Amino acid sequence: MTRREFACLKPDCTFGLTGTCIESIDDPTRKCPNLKATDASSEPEQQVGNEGDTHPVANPARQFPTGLELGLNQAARIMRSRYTRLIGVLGQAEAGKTCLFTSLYLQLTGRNLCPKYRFAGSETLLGFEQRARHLRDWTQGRVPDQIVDRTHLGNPRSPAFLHLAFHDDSGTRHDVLLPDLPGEWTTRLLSDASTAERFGFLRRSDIVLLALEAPQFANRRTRNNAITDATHLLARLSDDISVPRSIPLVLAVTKCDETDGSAPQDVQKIADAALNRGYSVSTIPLAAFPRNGTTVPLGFGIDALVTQMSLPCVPLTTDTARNIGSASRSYLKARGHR
Amino acid sequence: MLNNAFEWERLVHPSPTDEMITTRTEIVTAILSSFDEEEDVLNAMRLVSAAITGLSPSVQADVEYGTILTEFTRGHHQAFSSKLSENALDLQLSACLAVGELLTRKTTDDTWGEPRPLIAGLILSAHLLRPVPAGTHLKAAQEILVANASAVLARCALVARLRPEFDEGVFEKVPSPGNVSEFWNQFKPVLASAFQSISKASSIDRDELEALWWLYNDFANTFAKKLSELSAFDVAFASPLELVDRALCPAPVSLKNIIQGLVARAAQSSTRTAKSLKSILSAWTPKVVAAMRLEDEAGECAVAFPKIFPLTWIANRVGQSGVVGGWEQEFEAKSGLKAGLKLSPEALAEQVFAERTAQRLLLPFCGESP
Repeated sequence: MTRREFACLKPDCTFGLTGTCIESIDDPTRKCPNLKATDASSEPEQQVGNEGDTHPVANPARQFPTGLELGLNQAARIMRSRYTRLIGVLGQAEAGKTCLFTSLYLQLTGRNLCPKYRFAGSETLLGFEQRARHLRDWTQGRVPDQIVDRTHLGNPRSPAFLHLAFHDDSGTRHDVLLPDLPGEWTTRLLSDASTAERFGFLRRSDIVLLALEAPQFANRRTRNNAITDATHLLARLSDDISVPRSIPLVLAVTKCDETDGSAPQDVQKIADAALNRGYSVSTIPLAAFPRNGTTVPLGFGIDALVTQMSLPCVPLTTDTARNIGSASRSYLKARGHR
Repeated sequence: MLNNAFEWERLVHPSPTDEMITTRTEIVTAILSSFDEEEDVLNAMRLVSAAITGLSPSVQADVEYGTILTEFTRGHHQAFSSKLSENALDLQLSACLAVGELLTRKTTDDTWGEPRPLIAGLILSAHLLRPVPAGTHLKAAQEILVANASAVLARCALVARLRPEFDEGVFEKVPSPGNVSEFWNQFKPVLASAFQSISKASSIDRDELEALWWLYNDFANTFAKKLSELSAFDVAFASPLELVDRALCPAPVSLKNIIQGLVARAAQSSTRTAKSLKSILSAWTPKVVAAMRLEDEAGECAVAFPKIFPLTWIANRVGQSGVVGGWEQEFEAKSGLKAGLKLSPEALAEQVFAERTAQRLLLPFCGESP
């Protein structure tokens, strides 16, 4: 029996050694154009069990994750072990989605949310650190204008996830997966319903965040566009992606440092539109990295966001009354006198 | 229930493929085939426990059943890891689908359909004290199981109380006695059928009368006191035990409503604030707590599954030790529930009702102890 080995043509990719694709491509042995197979025919045959046992036995090298981001199958590896909350995130380019995640990571690891929430680990530490690296490049005591790089996906057709785990004050562990999607995906979704298919994973999400830019809703010149786009996005979520009504929506109003820490009034129109479509909705004003000169604190609203991510579901209810409706006898119809 | 496979597969994969669904269906079919072949009630209990309470690497019984489920999975997914810590939710998903199938599938000659009411009873007994599942999608899956279980039990309760119809015209068809032996051969089955009908009708009447007289007496044997002298927690414990034991099995939803009515009335004159399980039990004597466990094979079987029968497990422990205490640590380790779990009188009554019903449903299957 020969074991297949692979070598990647990309200079930085260590797939041959670690089994992890630098571009987070799912099943790279089939899909990555840069990966070349080499049959290690000189390897001795591997046998287990009895001599007559002819079952092929995979002997994969131990795989080390890159820690940058997780593909669908790598995310599934975490999901198989324990319930993992998938946080769907939609928002146009520069809405502040990546900043939100980076701030969330920094607030948790910086113990700013203690004792209510404590960082419990991440399988994508490098990914968060890479996104946060500009924050360490201060010039003349000022944070940079561009805090995080624009998001690009290794595989443009498949989402990549960041992973975070934290404990709440009762000691319960929460694992969350955050899809860091390029804003272009959302923009494209607005103009082309056929791209809804690649958002299919949102049907598995536990909550969906709609990243809305507060300044866009506050500015007279841009607010109508912002309202139209957000309403349109809701329609896509509901009609084209078919996100179930049981999944709550959160309007994550970003850059609220520019609106004195509050969500602009017109955001309520989006909340109403979501309610009309049958979703439960809440609004969280956020300022991941407030600009200099504002009184809004760093990581404003992140604690509320974490609370929303870790909220328990509504308790199970069983309608027992309907079970006795068909009975004809008084005893079987008794409802108790409370 | 297998038609939920695609939606439920999302628990463990953000975007499942057709191949994954096919594999999952094959795994569940294999689990069910083994269930039908072995006809072992322990399999039903393990499956329900895995589906409703999940599998924890720190509980020995879970690790053992996890190994069995892993073997089923490996039959269709060779690279599946054997570590429970890596696959607990995946295995729970297979168990959920299998339990759902057992509740809803059509029974044939090849399937073992008898334990369906038991499985429904076990589900209700296992889920009531559990914290709400961590996520929307697991909660949705369990809601479907619980709703189906409630429907199955309600239907079984109604069927058990259907008054038999006996056609008296069959007596007319019996020929006049000429030859005594021939007459007796023809008359015996008619008579047997008539007695069966009378016996069933009588047990149905007794079911109602026992409940009504118990209520009229206003007396709880468990505490040897009048109901009106008991606290809401006392009523929530004693009334389901005594009424479920007097009722035909399974007890109807209406009986649960009557019990909740009693609890609500008791709560008007005493506290109805939620208390911890530990403090509720510490107010009672060991004899009272031990009443939760049936003194038969079903009780013996039930204590082996603290995740499904948490109160029964405590009752057994208290009955053995003779003191109402010292059970907390072991209970938490084995059941996954906290001794400090807060319960209202209504929630306690629900749990006692569900657990007692499940114990009684278990009885016909427990010839041998586990």
